[in-house]
Amino acid sequence: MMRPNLLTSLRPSVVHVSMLGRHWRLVGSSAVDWAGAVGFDPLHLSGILPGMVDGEQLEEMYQLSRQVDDVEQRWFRASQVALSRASGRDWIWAYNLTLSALQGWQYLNGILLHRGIQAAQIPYADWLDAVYMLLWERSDEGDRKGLDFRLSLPPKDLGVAASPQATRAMLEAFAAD
Amino acid sequence: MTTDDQFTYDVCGRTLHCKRLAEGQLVMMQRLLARWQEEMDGASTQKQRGELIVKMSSISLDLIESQLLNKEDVAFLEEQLLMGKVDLEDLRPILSGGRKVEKQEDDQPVKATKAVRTPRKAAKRTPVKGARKGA
Repeated sequence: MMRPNLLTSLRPSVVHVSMLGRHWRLVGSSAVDWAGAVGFDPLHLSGILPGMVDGEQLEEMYQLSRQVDDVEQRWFRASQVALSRASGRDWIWAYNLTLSALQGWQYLNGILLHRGIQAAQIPYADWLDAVYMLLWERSDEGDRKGLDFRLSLPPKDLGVAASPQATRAMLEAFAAD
Repeated sequence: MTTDDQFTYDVCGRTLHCKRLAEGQLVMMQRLLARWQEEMDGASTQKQRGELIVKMSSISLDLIESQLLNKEDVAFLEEQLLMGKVDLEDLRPILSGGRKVEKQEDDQPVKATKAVRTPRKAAKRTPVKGARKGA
């Protein structure tokens, strides 16, 4: 039996997802693995599913995927869940922060390397912590609120829209801080 | 005619109308084909190689057929394949999901790009009317 541990349950070293009646193991745990998977196809997250499915399970995934009409949508939804599990956070927050990091990769990666943080070796969740703190400490009070707000916004290009009510509630919550 | 989600490809004098593979399907196919190719490279018996060739051909045909918009094209293609007039290598553009495949090798000269505009020189500062000298 695994030892009860909040952190390892929130941030498992190996991520599994369930779809098509099976459990699938995703290969990869480092920041490079996950950030690279997100960046490979930000619109559909195909770098996560089926991109990170264990090679031993690929054939089975292929055969099952042929039996449904909406496998692309299922992969997309399962990828969101996988991203949430790998990051230990809401998937939208992890997605937005990852894309921000990728856009300024040379700069950001350079600073992290100077601090001994190597994206190819550090777990994805820990790397997100480091990236967030780097952006946070280099911002003033107003920018920090803007950063948190932007990270929480559902990405428009993915067709994941917050309702007007939810957006209003989010704005009110930030204004109250 | 090529659009975002459809493209055409000419095979044996016939124009096939295809829809582009979705990203996930393309990723799946490429991973499977790469995996089986690795297994083929390590296969020690003819039987193993034969089984892998059958698998690779089968998935390739499945994916090609799933992209063809006309049923008649499916029958036509199967006939051409059976008669040996075309093989899967000829159908690679369809297998790539309609995406362009860059063929330039690394030792070829890079195409000329537009010249980079030189930045304008900073405008000379003109004194503001009425400003005190030496201020």
